[in-house]
Amino acid sequence: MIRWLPALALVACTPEPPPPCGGLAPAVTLTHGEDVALDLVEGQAMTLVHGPQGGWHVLFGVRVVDPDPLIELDVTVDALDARVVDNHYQLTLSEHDGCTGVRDDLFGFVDVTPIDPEARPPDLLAGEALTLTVGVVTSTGEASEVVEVIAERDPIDEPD
Amino acid sequence: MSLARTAPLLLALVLPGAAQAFCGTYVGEAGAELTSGASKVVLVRQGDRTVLTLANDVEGSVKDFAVVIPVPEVLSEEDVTVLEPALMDTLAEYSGPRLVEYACSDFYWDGQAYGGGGRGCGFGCTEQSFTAPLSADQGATEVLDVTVEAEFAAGEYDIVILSSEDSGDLLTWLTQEGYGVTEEAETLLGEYIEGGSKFLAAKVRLEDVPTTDGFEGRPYLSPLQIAYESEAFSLPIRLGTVNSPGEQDLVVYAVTDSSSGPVGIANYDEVTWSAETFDNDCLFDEEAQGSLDAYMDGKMDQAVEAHDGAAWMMTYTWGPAKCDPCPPGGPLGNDVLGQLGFEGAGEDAQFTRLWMRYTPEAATQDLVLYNTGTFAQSQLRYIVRTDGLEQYFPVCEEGWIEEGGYTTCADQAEDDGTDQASAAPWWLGLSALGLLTTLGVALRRRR
Repeated sequence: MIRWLPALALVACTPEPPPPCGGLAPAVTLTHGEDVALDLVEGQAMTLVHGPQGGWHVLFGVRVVDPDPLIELDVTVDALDARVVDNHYQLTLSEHDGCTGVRDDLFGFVDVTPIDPEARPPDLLAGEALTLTVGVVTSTGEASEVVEVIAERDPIDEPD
Repeated sequence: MSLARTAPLLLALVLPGAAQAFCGTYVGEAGAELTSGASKVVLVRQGDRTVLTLANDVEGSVKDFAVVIPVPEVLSEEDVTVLEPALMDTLAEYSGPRLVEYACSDFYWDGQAYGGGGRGCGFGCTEQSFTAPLSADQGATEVLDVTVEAEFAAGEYDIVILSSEDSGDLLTWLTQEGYGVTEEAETLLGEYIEGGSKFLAAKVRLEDVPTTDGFEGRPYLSPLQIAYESEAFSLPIRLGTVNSPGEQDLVVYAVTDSSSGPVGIANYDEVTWSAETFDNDCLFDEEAQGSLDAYMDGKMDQAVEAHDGAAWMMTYTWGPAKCDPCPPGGPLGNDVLGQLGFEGAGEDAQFTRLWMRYTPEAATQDLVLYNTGTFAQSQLRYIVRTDGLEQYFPVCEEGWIEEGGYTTCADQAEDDGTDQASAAPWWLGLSALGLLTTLGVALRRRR
């Protein structure tokens, strides 16, 4: 019996394991599409990237705090009272350190047909406010963030 | 009965120690007829490098075939090649919806049923094309703002790589050269031009069109493959809707690094598998329920209607070096993956098959594709309805049948006086249970 005592003592003295991520609630932050270290902030300019395979895109990334790297993600962009991007993802965060992970390879196809089927996105949206909303569902909870940015033309779309 | 059935392998043997656990018998590929008119593309994506292969099925004369594809950069001869059409058949067979057959002996041994409900066995055991007659205004001699950046042949195709600053001139050039692009495409061409696109235009050189073997060989067109670098993981589908007669089906075979996981589409609704939407892994009785193709076709129609005219589903994702049950051709070899443009071995790859249906009105966006980064293996699979299997699988359209409503495998064994143990190796069930956890996250329901 005596030889079990140290083990029992060890068990008795072992504190409860800390909650994952120090008990932090899930959180999501929209980041710049080309540099995940940069958060998207209110009023920031967002380029309507004219894709070389057609269409206009907005590039973005996310940083998510959650112990589970597997998430569901919804990203919408609203402008001029219309939804111009509506993306849904089921993905695994990269660079996940057990608490926080990122994805920097996301983009939305800007579709202005609900506003004007004949219009080009930069002609309609340049200088307008874009409301980006991101919602994340993780195994431990949900989180969301809304950021309002200002659309700007891709340099190749600047009028001559 | 439209399914291309293969010879049934009713006595599939699994030798102890075999790396691949087999459960059930592959009966055939469902949906072959269903998607025969679909656009089929292969997308190999590693980093920013994309290798795109287009299957060029033509219903009319091959002499009328012409294709214009926006590409992000000027392509050279090394970036364009052709493949054998049989390769597309191989992919279809490997990843197409499966019709499989089980017997009680796959689940029942010595009076004992395997597994919690038995459902684990299945998972565990494991152009854009503009075609038009040659009606160009050949007499036009105006100077057009169109540059032929490169010109070469690939297989039976004469290829030109074009750049232009003027969509009207490009349209005129393409029309004069017999590409038959309609005026409706001008706006879209302009959008591509402004975005920096170049254009690959291909026409068929009739004297080099291959024909099928046999006395009266039928001409066919080789799949056309192009490679390019692009940050955006996208597939332009809008050009193909310009002169579309109506609803279109698209099958995307995606090959990525295994660490990238299956491929998904972010900007169109996904049809997930459930009894309410699109049954999967259920018992199907073709005599009572009609052809499986018709069943799937109807289900997809309902889904597309429910999703405002466009929807997609992941019908298969797996490591291409494996499959379960495997079709007669087995998994995809490294040679096949290499021809598709994948750099690496099958063990390091993930294969995804996406099936999308859309109306031209609903396809207002090109496809936004993404690497899920998840581990998943799943497949669209139907099981031939056989007495006794109701305890292990739901019935398509009906769901689970209450016990007592059918003859169980135990009943059958008792009636027959057969020793099920001799028919089924006991470790088969354990193998199924052990691999039950491989059920992929791809089945998670959207919203």
